[in-house]
Amino acid sequence: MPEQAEFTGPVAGTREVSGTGWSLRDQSPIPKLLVYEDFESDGLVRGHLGVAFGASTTAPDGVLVCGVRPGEWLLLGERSGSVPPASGAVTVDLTHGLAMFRLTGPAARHVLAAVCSIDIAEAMLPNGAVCGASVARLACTLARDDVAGEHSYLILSQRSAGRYLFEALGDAGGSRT
Amino acid sequence: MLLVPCPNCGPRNSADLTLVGESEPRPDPAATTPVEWRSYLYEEDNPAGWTRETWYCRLGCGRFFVTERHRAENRFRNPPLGPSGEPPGRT
Repeated sequence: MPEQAEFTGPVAGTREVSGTGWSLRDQSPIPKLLVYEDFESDGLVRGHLGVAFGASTTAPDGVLVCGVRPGEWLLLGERSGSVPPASGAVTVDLTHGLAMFRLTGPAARHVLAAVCSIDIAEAMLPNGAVCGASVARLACTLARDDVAGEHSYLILSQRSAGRYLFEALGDAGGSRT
Repeated sequence: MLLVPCPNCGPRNSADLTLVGESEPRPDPAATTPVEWRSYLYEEDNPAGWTRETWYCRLGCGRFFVTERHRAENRFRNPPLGPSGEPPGRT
């Protein structure tokens, strides 16, 4: 029987840093499933997930469903009922392929704005919004997912660049405090 | 800064996108001479005026789209279209 490989995060040592009004946590071990809609599925997958491109919602089973691209969704969390039926959907487990960090706090927006290519003002990226953008010159997916009314962003990048991104975000926050 | 109107993401900095080149119909490989094929692949009209271009939204939605740009004034006009001329984006 094959052994289950232990998940090793992209960030060695400390997996959380914080400053005045912000904290950054490595959440890479959270399961991540990418779902593509088959061209012939005629919207079945979107109907099942109920999320449009650029938006996100929390499914009844607690999974955060993000519309990351037209016809593509990212499911974040231990999934059960969120996974669409096999017909019309292609799923790829990216748990080990993506790094994921959560930037939280009243100053989180300013920390992220220092290294992000797009306008992340409240009107442009409200709670629940999802977009692709350059963060510290990396191609990343941003998901605004506020926690208890506090600004919070999920930032996903290629796992191989995870340590760099973690340090770049920490440096951006450090330069503000 | 040049703002490119991505049909899915809205106006984005051109650094987030890649200009693929002028958009023109793909010739039929079976009925095209090598000279015509080379012209399609490598040559551009590059007018100092309006032209149809294909852009790739590299850091945003990851989709190709066609739009019209004035190459002398860097202005865009008309809503962008998908690579086949249809409104893009399956949301």
